[in-house]
Amino acid sequence: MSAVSRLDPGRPVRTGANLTPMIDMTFLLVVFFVLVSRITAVEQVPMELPAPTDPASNSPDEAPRIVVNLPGGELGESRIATLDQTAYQLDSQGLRDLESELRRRLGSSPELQVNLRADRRLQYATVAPVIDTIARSGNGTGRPDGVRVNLVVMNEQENGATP
Amino acid sequence: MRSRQQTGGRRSAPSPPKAELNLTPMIDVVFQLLIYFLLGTSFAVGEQTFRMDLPDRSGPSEVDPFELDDAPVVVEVLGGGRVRIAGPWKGPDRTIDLAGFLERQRLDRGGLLPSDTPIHIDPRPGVDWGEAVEGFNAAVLAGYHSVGFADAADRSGPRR
Repeated sequence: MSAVSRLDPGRPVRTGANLTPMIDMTFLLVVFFVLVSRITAVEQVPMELPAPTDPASNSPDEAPRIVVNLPGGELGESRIATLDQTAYQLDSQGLRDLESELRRRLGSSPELQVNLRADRRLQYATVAPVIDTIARSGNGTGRPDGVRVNLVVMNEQENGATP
Repeated sequence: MRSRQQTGGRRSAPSPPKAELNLTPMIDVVFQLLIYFLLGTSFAVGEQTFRMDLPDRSGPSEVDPFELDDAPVVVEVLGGGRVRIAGPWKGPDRTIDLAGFLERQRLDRGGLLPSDTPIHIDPRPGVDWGEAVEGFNAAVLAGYHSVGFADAADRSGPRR
């Protein structure tokens, strides 16, 4: 149904929504989600994080960080650690490679922290060598207090999973 | 400007063809992408962290010979929700009682331990990471500032 111009009754007025702002916003949203999904896919390997009862943990701050993931396997055991999109075997050679990569990154940024995400079903004996590797990687990077490590846990009360 | 009636009813010249892009398919695809990423993106909802500083103890380090080293309290995590505190402590047997016990030992709660006493969590073989973190959480919950995992190579060394 076409509207009629009051100034020029003989000519119908073309009505149409200006879609340009909506398209702009939509493209911005698409770009945002593309970038965020890439980041979260690299940093957040799906796993079952530890969920302590009555957790005394804190919300993560905004400091720059790198994330070391130790995903759990079907039986709760996994022999790899991932840093970004690189997987490191948890043998002596893999841990040396992980250490040198961590040292390179820690040396380039004095504020850098390491988030350790490990599956709660993993044996502690699997996680302990990675913790030691992170500690050694701070050697020579000018950190008198050592490497700042954040153990990532799931606060299920905040997540709303449990009342 | 004169109207059409005033010009003798001559038909106006056909307007030039307008070239327009049909944006509808593009908008359709963009909305599909938007919905895909909206549903597919997962944020770190509910994730929190425990701070732990890891000094490197593998190499030589400067040690003040006059500085007294605080003896750590070593909490052995035995698995199955059981713990044991090494030494002469009459500690609790269960992890859920550990936080309350350690809090009562604090100096400002009438106990003997300053809040900066090193607490070393020592998971025994076979204990999983979830239970180890449960012991770590209990020590932090009790108000101690220097909590860490016992080092396999040097169990007596302080680690924050």
